[in-house]
This record gives sequence, C-alpha cells and structure tokens, in this order.
Amino acid sequence: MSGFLKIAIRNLLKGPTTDPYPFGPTFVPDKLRGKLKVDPKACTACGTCEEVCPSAAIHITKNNNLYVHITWYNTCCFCGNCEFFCPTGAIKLSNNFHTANTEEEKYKFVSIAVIPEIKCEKCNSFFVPPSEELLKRAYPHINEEIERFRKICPECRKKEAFKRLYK
Amino acid sequence: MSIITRSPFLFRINTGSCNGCDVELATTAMIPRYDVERLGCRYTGSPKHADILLVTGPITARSKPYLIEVLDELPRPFVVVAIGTCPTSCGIFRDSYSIEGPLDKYIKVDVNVPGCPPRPQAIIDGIAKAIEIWKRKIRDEK
Amino acid sequence: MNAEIINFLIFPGGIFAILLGLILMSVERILVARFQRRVGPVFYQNIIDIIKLFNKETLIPKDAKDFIFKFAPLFGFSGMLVLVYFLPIPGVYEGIKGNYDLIILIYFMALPAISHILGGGASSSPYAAISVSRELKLMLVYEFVFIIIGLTLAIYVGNGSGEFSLKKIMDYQLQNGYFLFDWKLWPAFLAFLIFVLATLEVPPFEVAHHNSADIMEGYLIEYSGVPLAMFEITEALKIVVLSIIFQIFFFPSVMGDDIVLNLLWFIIKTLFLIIFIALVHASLASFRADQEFKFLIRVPVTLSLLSLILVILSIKGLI
Repeated sequence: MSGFLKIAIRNLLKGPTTDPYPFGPTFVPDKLRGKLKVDPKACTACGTCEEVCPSAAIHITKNNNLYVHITWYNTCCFCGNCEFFCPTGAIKLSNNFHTANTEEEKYKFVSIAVIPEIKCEKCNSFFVPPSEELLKRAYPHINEEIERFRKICPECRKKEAFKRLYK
Repeated sequence: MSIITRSPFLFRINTGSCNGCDVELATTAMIPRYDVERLGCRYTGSPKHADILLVTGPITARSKPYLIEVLDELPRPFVVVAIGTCPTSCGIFRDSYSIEGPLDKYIKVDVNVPGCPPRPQAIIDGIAKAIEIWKRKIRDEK
Repeated sequence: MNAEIINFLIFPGGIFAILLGLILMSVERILVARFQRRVGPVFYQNIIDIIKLFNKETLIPKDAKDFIFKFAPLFGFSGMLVLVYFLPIPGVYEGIKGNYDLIILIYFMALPAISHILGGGASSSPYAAISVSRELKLMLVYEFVFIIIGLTLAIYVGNGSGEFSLKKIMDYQLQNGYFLFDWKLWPAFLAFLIFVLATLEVPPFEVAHHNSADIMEGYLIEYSGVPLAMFEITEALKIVVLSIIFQIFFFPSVMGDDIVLNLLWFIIKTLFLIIFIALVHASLASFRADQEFKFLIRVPVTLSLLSLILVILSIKGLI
C-alpha cells in the first residue's frame, strides 16, 4: 500500500492530464477513418462502392440523365472498403469524427454527389465520360486519340476504332 | 432553471453489442484523459436514478424483454441517446434472423451518435446535445 | 426561545450543516479525482444534485410496503439533525449542557444505518435484500468499536467512575493536554479512524451499497426523487457530525474567543480528515463481505480494547 501513496502524492503535484475538449482543441490523428467524401469530377458511377459496402449505406440512382450518389452516415460503419476498392480514387474517408446528430435530422444526415451525363459529339446520346483518373490508371501515356474518349459515346468509339484499324 | 441540467446521471444498457462501444464508454468516464466528471456527470447503478440513458448494441431477440422492462422504470423527464451504429439503424446486422430492429421501435430516441465505435470526443458531443434537449423538455413540462 | 430556534434551523444546525456537508462531499470527490490525475467536478456539485433530485418524479414498486418505503429516510435524517443541534462545537457553540451526552450520542449514531435497513427491506428487490443482510452483519461490529472508545474516554476523564458529559471531556483536555498527544490513547485514535471509514461506506468498506458493479446500489435501488435526496442529505450531515465528534474526543483546540476565527479553525481541521478519507478512497479496492467482517472484528476491536486496558492500568497507578 505504501507504493500507491508515493504515486498519489506525485499525482497531486503534477496536475491533471485531461484532454481539454469540449472547452479547447483536441488531438486528431491524420489517418482517422471519419466521414466519407465523394469527388464528383473523378467518379464514373461504376457501382463498385455500392457492391462492396457491408451495411448497404451507399446508393446510386439515375434520375433523368443524372447519376445521384447518396451515402447515409447513420448506417455507415466507417470500414473503408469503398476507399480501398474504388478504381478512380474518387471516394475518400476524411478525419472528421463529429457524428452526433439529433432525431429531427436523422434522415437528413447524408452526403450527396451528382455525376452528370454529357452528350456525345457525334450521335447526341447521353453517356458518362471516363474521368482523368480512370484514364491515367488504364493507359501509361495519354495522347490525343485517348483524350477523344472523353467526348464520344462507346458506340461511336467502336466505329472510330474499327475505321482506324482497318483503314 | 438551467442549473438543474448541470448534473446529469448516466445509466448504460448493453443489448447484445460487441462491447466496442462499451469500452469507449468506459474510457470517457474513468480514464484521466477524457474525464466526463468535469461536466458534472456521474455513472449510477440503478435505472431509477438516471437522467440520460445510453444504449449500445442492436436489439437482439434474447435481450428484448429485459430492455422493455428497464424502459418502463425511468422517472420523467429523461433523454435517450443511442451510441454506435447498431441501435441507430442496425448497422451491418440489418435483416438478420435474430435482430429485433433499431431502437426507434420501442422508445423515442433523442440523439444518435453513429460510429463503429464512435470516438470518445464524439460521445461527449452527443451528451452535450442531449443536455440541451433535456433543458427544453424541463421547460415544456412547466 | 428565539435563539434556540435559530440554533436548530439555521446555525449551526439545519441549513448551515446541510450546506457544509454537501460542499465537503464535493471536495472529497475533487480530491479523489486529483489523486487520479483527473479534473473533478465543481466544488458545489452535490448541491446541484440535490436540487435536481427534487424535480424528478417518485416511482414506487408494486410489491413494496408503501408506508415504510416512503418514510424510511426520515429516521436517519431526523436523528442526524438532532445531533447537530445538541453537540458542542469547541469555541463556537455551547450545545445542550447535559450530564449524560455521551450515552445519547452512542444511541443516535446508529440511526442512519437503521433507516438504510428499513428502506432496503421495504423495497421488494433481491438486490436490496442481499445488501441489507450485509449491512446488518457489519453494523454489529463497528457500533461495538464506537461504544468501547466512548467508554474508554468516560473512564479516563472520570478517573475510575464514568463521566458522560461532553463539556467535561473537553475541559479536561484543555487543562491536561489533548488526547491526540497522549500515548495511551493512540490505539483508540487508530480504531476511531477505521470506524469513520466503515460508517461512511468509503472503499475499502464499500460492500453494502454503491458498488455499481456487484449489487447495483443495494438498498437504494428502488428509490428516486425526493426520498433519494433525503438519503443524500443524511450522508452529508453524517460527515459533519463525525468531524465534530473527532474534534471533541481528540483535539478540541480553540484560538481565542472570536467565533468567526474558531469556525475557520474548525473547518481547517475538518479538511485534514477529508484529505485522509480521500487518500484511502483513491488508493484501495473494496473488501468482500466476509473479509471485511474478519478484518473489523480483529483489528479495531483489539486496538480499542488495548487502549481500554492501558487506561485502566494507568488509573490504578501501575503505569
């Protein structure tokens, strides 16, 4: 018992070691798995994250030439599967841990990203273009012909490639 | 009188969770780093002394009758906080054969703190929001 | 007549003692937190607890005995309130100058434990029944220790025949030296400190209630609202009463004739007792029920009997 007496007196002299939150700033590590964020310019609405999420928190729906990517934070498990499997790196987990919300805003605690479809230059039908990150992952060097993939729909792309190879 | 809300008594129920959120609740109370006693809170051992009820775990079929008995024993006015993703919306256990649904079916929940497990600072945030709702309930009862 | 009502209700009984006791309980909580390197609550935290408890509704279980359940906390509360009225505070308050104060004191010190037992027995819960049986077993032993210490002092002051007036015990010490520095009464002093820890149910003697891991608050499990606030106020009054008894028995020193100065000196001496209680609370774990019974029946009882034998031998002239 005398061992703890020395520790108690030493504790009294050294002072408390409490984190000052919520009356002051706190320490947040860099790689903390917090709320996720989607970059709409890099996303191609492929559906991998929806397939891989274990608690079905991500839904991608189509609405009149717009792809809407919705995440409901109240059922997300912060596991990181979507960040690991995304082919373009559009979905990333930030280190924002403030997740407390009241009952009124329970079903509004979402994150929405909108990916618009664009018109093909040749046949005027709507399609989702491949983003820059997807092209960088597929091809080592990007020249002008590969850049054209971002403007023409897959049908017209097939016709152009056939013409180029069998000219 | 807003001085009443400076001393909430906390009571926790575990309805079949994996104990991750319970370990985080233990650290907000007892370890010197995230002390919850400087906000005036105190953990009690009986639901009849409680002001804020903290629930963890998806409601499993085995623990459902005990949860319903305890929910009848809380003296008014009280506030319910659901900690973790499991009582909010069953998390990854949704549509399983032994889960009896989120906590919304049995009592009106006031604050949700999702996370698997949520950080102790986020739990303190949730308790602070619950105290604000408690103030409003006391004012409405008068 | 008017001065006595003020003495009973406002100072030093009644409101002054209740507020002082609640502040001392909060100070003990702050000290325990600082010994564990945490920040504790504010110094008036327990007063806010009592005000909040008056605003909650009271729930009574269906199988409980209604009348005893509601009026059980009043035994302890009224007993402690009367004790604060008639005990003398050295230098500040005269008390009732009776001839048999010590015997009344020994009877009234047992009342809070009896109100715990009645309250726990009237609530029909198995947790409360276990806690009541533990409390009964332990109450026998530590009341016995207190009785022996009281009788030792009575025999010492009366020089063979018993002297049961508290004022004469204080006057004897002012003439012949305080009992704190008298080597024959050091075992009784240690036994008295153990009695203080056991009757306040502070760890390591915390087996009958508040053990929110084992039996879920024991006899308090079915209480809520105003009766629960009465139990807390009784705890607060008990701390003040124990500090007054400690100073009458062992160290009634005064500093001149000024009331305010003596009151401050009284509060400083109480703070030393609170520091000791907080140090033991923060550093020891709790006993089991049978370990506590064996400890209490061996160590404090032998210490107080040792003091009794030394005092008897010194009266006969052999030491």
